Amino acid sequence: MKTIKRLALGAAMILTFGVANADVVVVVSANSSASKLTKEQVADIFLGRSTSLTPLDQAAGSPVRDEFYSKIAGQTAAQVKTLWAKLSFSGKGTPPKALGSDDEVKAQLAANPKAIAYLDKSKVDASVKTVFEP
Amino acid sequence: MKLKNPLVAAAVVAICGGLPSQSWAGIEDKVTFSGFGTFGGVVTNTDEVDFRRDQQPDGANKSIDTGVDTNIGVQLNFQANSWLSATVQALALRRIEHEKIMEIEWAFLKATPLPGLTLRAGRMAMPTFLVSDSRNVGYANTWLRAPNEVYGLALAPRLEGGDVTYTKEVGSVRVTGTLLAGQSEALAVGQTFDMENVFGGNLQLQKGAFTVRAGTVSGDTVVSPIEKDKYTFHGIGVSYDKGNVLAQAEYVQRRSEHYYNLVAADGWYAMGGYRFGAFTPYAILANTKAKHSDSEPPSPIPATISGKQQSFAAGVRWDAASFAALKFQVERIDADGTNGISFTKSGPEIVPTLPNSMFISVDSVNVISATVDFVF
Repeated sequence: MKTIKRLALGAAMILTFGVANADVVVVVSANSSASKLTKEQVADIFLGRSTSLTPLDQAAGSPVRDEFYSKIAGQTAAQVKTLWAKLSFSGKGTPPKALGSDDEVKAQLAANPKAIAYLDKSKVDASVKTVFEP
Repeated sequence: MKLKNPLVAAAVVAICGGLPSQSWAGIEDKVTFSGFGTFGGVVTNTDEVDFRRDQQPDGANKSIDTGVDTNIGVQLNFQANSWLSATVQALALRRIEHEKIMEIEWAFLKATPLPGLTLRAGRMAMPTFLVSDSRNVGYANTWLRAPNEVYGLALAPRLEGGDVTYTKEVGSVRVTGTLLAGQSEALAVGQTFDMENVFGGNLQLQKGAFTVRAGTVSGDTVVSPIEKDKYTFHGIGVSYDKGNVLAQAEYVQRRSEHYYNLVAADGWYAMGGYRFGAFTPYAILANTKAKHSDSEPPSPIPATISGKQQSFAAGVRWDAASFAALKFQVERIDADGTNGISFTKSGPEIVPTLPNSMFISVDSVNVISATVDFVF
């Protein structure tokens, strides 16, 4: 029980820390024709309900990823993973590819004008354009 | 593994061998390999009968049984291009007969020629319930197992054929309609029967956190070379999932044209849960009863496939790690002296050639279950 309490406290601290520091924005390549999106459209794309754009994920467990799903859909990492288990094991889709770094995300966006991703606001540069800011 | 449908065989060949014209360069971007599994143990407070799921030939009693919920599945997905994919899923679990453990559960080709329009051909799950496709994927569900009183009623779990699905946004409502046709196999009275002329339809409406679904499936069960019997299965369901609250309920009807008093049954359940961080406690109330009609000719078998049963289950899902969930569930099941639906008795047959599950008498049984569900 002590361990669980400690874990919970740790999780709460990480969460608070994450919220305080990760200001997440949704981006596409600067060359993309995609324009502004609504929160619902972004949620549909990242939760497998729309295939109009190809979503890219940040690394599992990264604060920016947890912050993104919390803001866009009010879902925890476990809820999102459960949803994708449901979709992929019913042949309805495959989860977004998870990338290791912000640079990798930008490189993939530059290579694919149909790709969409999210970044910490401080990492936005001229190679990307913001289509949604929660 | 039995692949009697040429479409199924084609899908398997396409995915296992690679499409002939495909170059192998960049194949790793097109192929996704994934898997899921459950390891579970079940124990009850009686040695009189065995607790099982679906139509398993034996199950748990006072000795812990690890075969009721344990399963493992692997899936290969081949995305040929932006509109064509192939999916093969193999699943091992305790099935109706001991010797049939691992089977190719699905093997289908899927095409998306227009936005919102999906065509599939091959072997796939029969869409009988709210949770038809992922009912064997423990990790994808809050409950430890789908309530037998409803999910145990379906006799034809797979479709070999095709379906057409169209999804459209109508205002703020997402409407999804599916039509299906093909053949199947019915698992009943301990035997497997071919089912021909299978047709069905599904309509699903989703608005925000609410999903409503209604569906029907019918087919001709080949009882003997000279006799066919019309099988029908209707179901409606509703689910709600928002923030920390989740709730779900379904009602189903199983019918037969010539064997009404043997086959006909209704079932329903209601489930509710609440997320406390990584812990999701939930409760399920479920009920089924066999239907009887005096106007029907007397059944050639003086028994019912399933009887009367009510259960109350309380459990918790714990998302312990990013790839695994632990679940614990206790339930009290009351079959009112009938054969219920969750029970059988292993050992010698009470009536030759018919399963013991039709001839046992069950009162109240308490069941405790624990599982680890994982995905990879």
